Amino acid sequence: MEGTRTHDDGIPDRLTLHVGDERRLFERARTRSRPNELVVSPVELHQRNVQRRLREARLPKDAFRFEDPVGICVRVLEAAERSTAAVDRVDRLSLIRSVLDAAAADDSTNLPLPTGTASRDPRHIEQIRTEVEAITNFHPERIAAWTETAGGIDAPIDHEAAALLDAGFGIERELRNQTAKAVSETALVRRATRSITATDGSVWADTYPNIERLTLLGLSSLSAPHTDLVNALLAATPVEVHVHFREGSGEFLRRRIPDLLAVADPGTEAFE
Amino acid sequence: MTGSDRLALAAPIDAPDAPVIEIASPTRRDEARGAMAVAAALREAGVPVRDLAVAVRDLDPYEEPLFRAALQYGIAPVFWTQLRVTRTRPYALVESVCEALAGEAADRETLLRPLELRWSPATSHGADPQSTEWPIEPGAVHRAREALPAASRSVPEWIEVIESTDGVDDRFRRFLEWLDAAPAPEPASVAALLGETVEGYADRGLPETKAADSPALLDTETDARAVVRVRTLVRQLRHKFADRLEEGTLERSWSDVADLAGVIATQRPGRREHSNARALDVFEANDVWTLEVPYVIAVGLTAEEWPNPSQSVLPPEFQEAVLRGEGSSEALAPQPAWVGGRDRDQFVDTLRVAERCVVVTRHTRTPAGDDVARSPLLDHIETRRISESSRRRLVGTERELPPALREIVGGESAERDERPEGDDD
Repeated sequence: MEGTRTHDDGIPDRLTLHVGDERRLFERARTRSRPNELVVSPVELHQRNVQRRLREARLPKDAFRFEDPVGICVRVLEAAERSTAAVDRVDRLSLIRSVLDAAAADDSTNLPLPTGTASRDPRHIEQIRTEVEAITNFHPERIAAWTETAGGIDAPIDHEAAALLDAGFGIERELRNQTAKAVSETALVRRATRSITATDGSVWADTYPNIERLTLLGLSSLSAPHTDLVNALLAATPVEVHVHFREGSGEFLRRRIPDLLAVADPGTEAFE
Repeated sequence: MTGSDRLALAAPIDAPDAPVIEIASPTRRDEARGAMAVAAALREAGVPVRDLAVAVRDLDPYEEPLFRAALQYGIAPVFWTQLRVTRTRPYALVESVCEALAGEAADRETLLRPLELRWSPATSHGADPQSTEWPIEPGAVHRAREALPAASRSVPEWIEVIESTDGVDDRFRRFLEWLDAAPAPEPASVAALLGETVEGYADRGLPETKAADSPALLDTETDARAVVRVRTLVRQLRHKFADRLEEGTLERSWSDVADLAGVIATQRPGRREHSNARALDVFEANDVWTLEVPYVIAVGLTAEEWPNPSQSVLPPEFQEAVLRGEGSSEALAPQPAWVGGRDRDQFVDTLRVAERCVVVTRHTRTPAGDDVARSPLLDHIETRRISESSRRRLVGTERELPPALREIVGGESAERDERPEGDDD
């Protein structure tokens, strides 16, 4: 994508991928007046483990600021004076139930529901929605890729995979009509991703003026929403990004990253 | 990317630095007993409890049997788990107060953060509960931010600045005076000051949430539950802070208080009456990532429980296409958890945590008597299996460490009574 130079291996210049090797973080521990590195992990206890290791090694943690991915996105949106209100899972399930009830009462609904015994269970519908979101981030290019990938599979599985995409996409759209809040915390990640891109990184600079490096730790996958956030940071800000995968799956994920980052316009959603 | 990269998810696992000892027990309950007997016997052999950790892929089926077994062997367990209390406003308020008090100086953002989070004086300290003065409304906090300089200053200096700044009302001074009067962090003063903070929130912050809430009052319920949790947390903080000061592992600083609050907040509630550093840590395997502990007891290495691939709604053929990432599917984010990638990560990281020895445990039959197979993850590494007679001596009254483990603890060579791998059962 524009503005992001890449090495021959397809990895952008300011992105470094590691498998394990977290001790590199500890080597950067030093006394500073303010943090210059965001240490980001989706698992809260992992942040605590890093802090515990620092403490046990009597290393200063002044250089680090600990966050989870949603946390940094909320800060970015606050700086951009955008709303950060999001529906939590409990509320989302009750919204899905009312969408399903309304659809059942109205034959003319265009909500594409999957067939099968579990299709009326809000938790089942929510799982479809979250899986579609994790794989595509509702990005038009990935939605198209899903359709094409499904088409390459033998019948009747091809139709099943395509129907799941329609269902996940459809329920997300219905939920947007039900609430003024963001449908999920992941929607806040997308919103922040777009905000970083749209402001050419200035909102990021306002939020984290002293941050030079972002380290993502302890990942057993790299979801499409997190990929797109990383993509926006690499394209629009000068921050260096280090990703540490875990040892059991890291080699596999490392090889997939160049293709995942090739999806342009991060944070774009396929909703009209 | 080629389809063969997909094979990276089944590649061999590098041998761990520490030796692996395997204990197979008949039932889950026996297995839990064996795990805790190992912990108890290691302690008797002089291993400090902080040098031990238990890791379980999924705590749900094991918490109760592990807890019972622990009590039987006189061990106080602490079960660690993810709790979202750190995402709540009352918790953030307590943390922000500690941060405002930490160090010699605070910048504007640090100083105003408690007020954004609705800090209010506790009514027990003379404030009128009916007054609408508190919390300071967001607009006024915003105007103060515009009017005040950004750079760090001490609290007395901030008071001077505020007195000479137009548009910053007297309530800000009252908050600053409260900060200024804060005593040095001692167990009792920490509990008093943060307790006051929580009660101020319960009196004034919580009604704000309720007023803004939908008729179902879901936010209010979350907020109210969080107040209860944070109140408990502050009480525990007093005892734990005292313990840690005594041990010399923490300093009398407000930033160490904030750290400790974070530690307490991420433990599972209900088991924390053993509030001391002499308790045995029991983790879910995902949560031991990057720790360093000499002895790790990994529980539940059965084919059914570890690996336990995530339940996906997607057809396996579609998952496989996304994992292979050929053609159009290269743009789709693959989830290694579909095929046990996350379990592999957790298994490898559990092995890496151990500095001296890993003890893996499993059970071989269900309560109904059906066979339970050994985890295929164990096929990747060499283990030394404990004989059934050794296992019985371990869980029996003599609580005898199996020779293979005794050898590691003592560093001396003991006679081995384990049969070679593959010879068990």
